[in-house]
Amino acid sequence: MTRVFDSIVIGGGVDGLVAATVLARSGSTVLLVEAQPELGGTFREIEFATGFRAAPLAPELGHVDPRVLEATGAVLPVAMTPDPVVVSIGQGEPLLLRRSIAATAAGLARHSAKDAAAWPAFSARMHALAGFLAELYRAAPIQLEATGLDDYLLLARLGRKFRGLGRSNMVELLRALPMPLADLLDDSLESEPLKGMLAAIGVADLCQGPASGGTAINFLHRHVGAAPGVFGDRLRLQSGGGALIKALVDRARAAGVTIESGATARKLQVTDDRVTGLQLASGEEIRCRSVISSLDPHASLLELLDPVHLDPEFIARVRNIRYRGVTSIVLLALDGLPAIRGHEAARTGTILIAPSMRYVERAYDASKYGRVSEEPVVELRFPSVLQSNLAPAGRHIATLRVQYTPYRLREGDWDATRDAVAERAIAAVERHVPGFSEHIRHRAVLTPPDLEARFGLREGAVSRGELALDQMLFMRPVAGASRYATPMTGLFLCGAGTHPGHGMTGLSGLHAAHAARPR
Amino acid sequence: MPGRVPHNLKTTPFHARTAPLIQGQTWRRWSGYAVASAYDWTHDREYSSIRNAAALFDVSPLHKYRITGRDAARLLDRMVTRNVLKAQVGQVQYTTWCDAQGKVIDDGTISRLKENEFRLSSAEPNFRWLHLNAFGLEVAIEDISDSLGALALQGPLSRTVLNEAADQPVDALKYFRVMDNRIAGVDIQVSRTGYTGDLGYELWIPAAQALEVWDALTAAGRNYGLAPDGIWALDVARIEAGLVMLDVDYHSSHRAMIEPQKSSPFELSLDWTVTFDKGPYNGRKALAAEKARGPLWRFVGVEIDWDSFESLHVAHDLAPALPSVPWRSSIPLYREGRQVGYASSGCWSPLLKKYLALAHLQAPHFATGTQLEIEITVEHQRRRAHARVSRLPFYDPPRKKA
Repeated sequence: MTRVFDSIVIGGGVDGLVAATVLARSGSTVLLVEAQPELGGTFREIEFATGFRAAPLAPELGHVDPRVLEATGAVLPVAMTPDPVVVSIGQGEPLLLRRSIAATAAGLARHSAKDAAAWPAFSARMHALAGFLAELYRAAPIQLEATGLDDYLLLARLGRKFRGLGRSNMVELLRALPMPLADLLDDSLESEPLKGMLAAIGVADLCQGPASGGTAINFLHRHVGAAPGVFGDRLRLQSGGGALIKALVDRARAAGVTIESGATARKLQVTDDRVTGLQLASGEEIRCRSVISSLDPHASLLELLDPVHLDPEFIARVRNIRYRGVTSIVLLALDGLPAIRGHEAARTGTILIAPSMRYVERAYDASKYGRVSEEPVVELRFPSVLQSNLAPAGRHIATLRVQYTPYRLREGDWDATRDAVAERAIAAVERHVPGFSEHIRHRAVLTPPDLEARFGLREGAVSRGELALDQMLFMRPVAGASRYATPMTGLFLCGAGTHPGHGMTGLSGLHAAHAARPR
Repeated sequence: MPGRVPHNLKTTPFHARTAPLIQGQTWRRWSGYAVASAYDWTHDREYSSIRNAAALFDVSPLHKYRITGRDAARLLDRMVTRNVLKAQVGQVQYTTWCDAQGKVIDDGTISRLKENEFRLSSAEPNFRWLHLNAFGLEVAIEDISDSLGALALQGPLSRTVLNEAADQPVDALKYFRVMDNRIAGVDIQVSRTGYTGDLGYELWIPAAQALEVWDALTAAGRNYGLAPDGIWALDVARIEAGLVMLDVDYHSSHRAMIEPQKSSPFELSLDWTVTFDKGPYNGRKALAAEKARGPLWRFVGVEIDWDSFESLHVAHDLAPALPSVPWRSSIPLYREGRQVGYASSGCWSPLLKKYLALAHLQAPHFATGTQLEIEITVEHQRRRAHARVSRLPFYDPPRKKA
């Protein structure tokens, strides 16, 4: 007996769960299939040593737009707001990024009186610019050629919002979008530790350094949804991303979504130029009217779908999407917590090894030539300090986000390089947090190919398509498919590879569900 | 050294033979190669060889691709408007290929040489397009444009000449079929195809041995009035045959600047090359919609009324002035005073004794017999001569397929 659903959602990450729930709540019968045994996608926790668990790709939840919660009915536990958010450790006094602009500025005074004075205005301006992006992310991307009333209303609203930036910020936005992050920071700030910290946050997961053109927008993108003056961290929960996933799964089930994990989508079935079903790896063929895939655009369009159905020019655009993963994750099981140079409170936040903008740019240089940075940018976190369930009693875990480790190595292979990534990252931490390595009892390394294999990230790209100006908005994932519908009738895309992109938790699932909803 | 070729043009594998023959240095550019417009000072004798004896054309500038591999047939089938999967080994298919909007990119022939080996010949370069279409398929695509020479041997005596020159008789070779053969010890392929609408063949010859084949053919043709022919004579024949020409009668959708410059196969009256009896291919959806709606344009023949044409000249005390060579320009066509289309090629047909044009007409003005007016310039003044829509081809001898 062939099973029949109105819609099948592929992928049980946040976006897939949101899309499935919204469709089910609007009256569709929905099946969600997830290839892994557990749901959660990139929020998934893994056990990397007996009794030690970590969510390698979700140190924080990103920006959870209230409309995502409203549309699904999900309720989140109270968020935690650790302070300081980021501690940058390098030469001299550690630099603390706090939730309070005044507190950060007070700390900055020890590095640069000028920066301390500039910080409130800088924070306000970045927040205003990111606010305009947030407006662009509220709905499907604008179309350059507006076709319907909705498009005109959206354009009108954006126009008002743009005017609302004020004359100087209007100019600033247009100037900042294609700008190198280094120049944006140099405009306002002088202290190297501060610029190094913001640069590292701003180029996270980009195969580019702060001096590369078009990196400012990644910095602003990552600021969307954060409070003024808060960079690099948006939302954290006591139980980590797991609480968000659990809330969404509960809402999906309550809405009537049939959820099947361990079920791999293999091939879309197409009849008369429209999607009519999905074949699973088990061989089962399930009929449906639409498929919403949260896999990356390449997998959705060129692997699940027979490319013969697509315009070769469109195929070329999809093949040209840049992924270029540069991030490795080192997971450590610790027998205790190291001292952080008198800033023990920093263990609840992110400890950043990026002492200067130059350090970040040098770390990037290696990846240009297909090499792993000798001295990488490292984000160190101790998630078990706030989430005690991640490690046995009295023990802790540390996660190191290491950049730059390019997916494609010019020499050697990843099996021979994996240990070097861990050693260089640990050495970089050890230089600034003496005694750190003494606490390590076990380590696991997830290189870009490992992230590809275990989390389905193409080329290990956490971004699922680099967040660059030419791969954003109506060009994400590609022109001609940026409004979640694709050239194949009945196939819709969502996930971080689509607008608005990585870190905008659940928004693409919401937008895609609206696009896919039967009219 | 006779045959001074413009220095920036390539020469074909037959150049050493064709260059000494060209009297008026009427070299012209075709896909970057120098080819003769006519070998004589005018094309008249060359044209008569097509319809009365045998003509030999150097068509080496055609773009040629060899496509091999497990998915060779699938690649072409997903690209073109005809059903390539159905083609038998030894069959040749004339076809168009379209973009996703169902607008023609190019037209040409596909020869199935083996189960998994095809040759595509086209007017424009298609290497990139083949590669884009080949995504996910197991095929090898080789551009053999430079390594493979091509000759067209056309005309009522072409079979006789070929039988004298070739090791294998070609009598059994049917219309739009291809066979292996050998001339002067050179392994070649002979297809029963051409661009004249007459009995004729095309010969596919390794460039390195091109001259041996040329010499053997011209020797065999000596007693049958075989003449090397240039593009002007070919143009007259193809207009009589109603065959569309890229960059003259239509423009590749890849090169069009604006939508109206693109044409669908239906608008080019090539409906017979479009099938829906196969799997997905580029433009299928758009073509199905257009077929249901009916085309907005058609490609038709136009005969210019002689009396009307003559009287426009007589008014100036002139004898009717016919174009000396076929023209390739856009000439407005009117119906009851309103422009309803344009002619894109035209010539005097010495065989039919008619002034002919190939034209694009908007719906509903393309029905056979529709009375039109065509713009004629007489003594620097724009006039309109009567003309009527005619069925294509203008000339279609039974020997073409017999």
